[in-house]
Amino acid sequence: MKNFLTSFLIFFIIFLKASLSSDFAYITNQLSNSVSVIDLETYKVVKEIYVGAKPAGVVVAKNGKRIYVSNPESKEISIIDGLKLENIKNISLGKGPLGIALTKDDKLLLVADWYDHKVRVINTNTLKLIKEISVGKSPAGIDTNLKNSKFYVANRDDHTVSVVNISNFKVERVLKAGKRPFAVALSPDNKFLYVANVKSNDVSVFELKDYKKIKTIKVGKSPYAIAFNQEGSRAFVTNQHENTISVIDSVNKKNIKTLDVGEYPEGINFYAKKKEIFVVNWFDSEVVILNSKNLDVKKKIKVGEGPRGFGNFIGPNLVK
Amino acid sequence: MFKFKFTLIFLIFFTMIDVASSHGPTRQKIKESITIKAKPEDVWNIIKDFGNINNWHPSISKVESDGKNRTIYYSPRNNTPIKQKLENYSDEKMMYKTSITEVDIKNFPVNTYTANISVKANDDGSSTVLWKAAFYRAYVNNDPPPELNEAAAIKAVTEFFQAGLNNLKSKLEK
Repeated sequence: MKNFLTSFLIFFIIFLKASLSSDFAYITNQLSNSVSVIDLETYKVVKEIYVGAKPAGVVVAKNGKRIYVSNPESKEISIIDGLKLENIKNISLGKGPLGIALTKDDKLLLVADWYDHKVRVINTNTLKLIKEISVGKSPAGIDTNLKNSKFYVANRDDHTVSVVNISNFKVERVLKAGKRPFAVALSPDNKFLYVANVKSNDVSVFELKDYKKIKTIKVGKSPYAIAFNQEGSRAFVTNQHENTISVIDSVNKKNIKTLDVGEYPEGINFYAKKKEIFVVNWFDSEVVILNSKNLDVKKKIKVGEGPRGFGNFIGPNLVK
Repeated sequence: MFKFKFTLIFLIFFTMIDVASSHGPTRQKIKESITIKAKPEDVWNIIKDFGNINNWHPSISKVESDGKNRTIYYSPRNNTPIKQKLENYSDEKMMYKTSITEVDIKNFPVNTYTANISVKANDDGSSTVLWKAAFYRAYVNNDPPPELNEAAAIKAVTEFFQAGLNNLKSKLEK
């Protein structure tokens, strides 16, 4: 009995600690050359970290120790230490680094270069460039699969998506998307790839078992980024020129709702722990947090000027 | 010769298409506002006519409009034609939104431009007109020349807005 109580207590403490553990959102502010760090317990900005010039893309390592930021203007990647909340290093890279992602094991950093049409691969351990892969014109958004075997990159000015094999860094396939695809997102089960097309105002849905385009879903004006909820039953799309997000029923592949969120919505993430949607509004310089159940606005948080938050910007808070 | 001309026209045409749809990685933002001692309805009455912006903007020599699209001739910059589309209009909110569909970037160096003009009431009975825009620089490749960089784009739009707002104020407060 005592044993049981002890294990129960330990279990309870672990559970409590897990539920109390908080997270941060790292928002790139393109017009103030900084990253705003939001504490997701208090919804307060705890720090503004200066990085390179005109930061746009961002990705947080799973353990929260490192945050990578792309700076297309200064042509470098800024690395933020998640414990110190400081920009500890800048790596020069290419001509216009923009879209940025990590493989799910956090071992490789992938950076799409808007100007020289390549994806560069960096070993996150050594921070050395290990490969340059030629893709389509003006590559932007990247997503990686759960098996760490493939990544997908939207080539905006070629109207395509490149499917790249991570084991040999070869482009395996080129998928034809809509007009000016900018962002890609894999469904949580990795069965589908959603591509947001800025100029055709729609989302192309590819079934990955045979790479067939199974559906084109109309959304709002100039869709920019996509986020799925945890279950994969909904996809949320920011529509830059319409000041709205589209809610897609990803089971039936239908646009079921459009709602106003503020001016020039860009980056979007789903925060699984609290079932919230984070929308980064570029013109308002705000992050709007919506309750994903009823789609009510829960919070609006002022950040730096011209935030983009292009990428996965949420990760564990190591500072506490 | 004919073939050469044709190829040239073809090339120019395609370059223009490309310019219209690509852009650099950093969008710019401008907000200009002015307080006017007049009722919001009176201010809106003057600016609400999409096809007659030359009624209150002093730097527009001529407008051609079909109600949905307009071409304004902007006098400070070689009377350059700027084609604009009405994206959104709300009489109730006293605002409208436009985009630029065609422009000679040598004269007006912006890309993927949208702008929103609105009138709001102040507590003291006066009005504030807010004109804001989002756009990219004209140069689509890396390392732009100075006449096509971000500063040049910001200057062009700021001058255009300020001239209009200042004139609107003096017209209404006269």
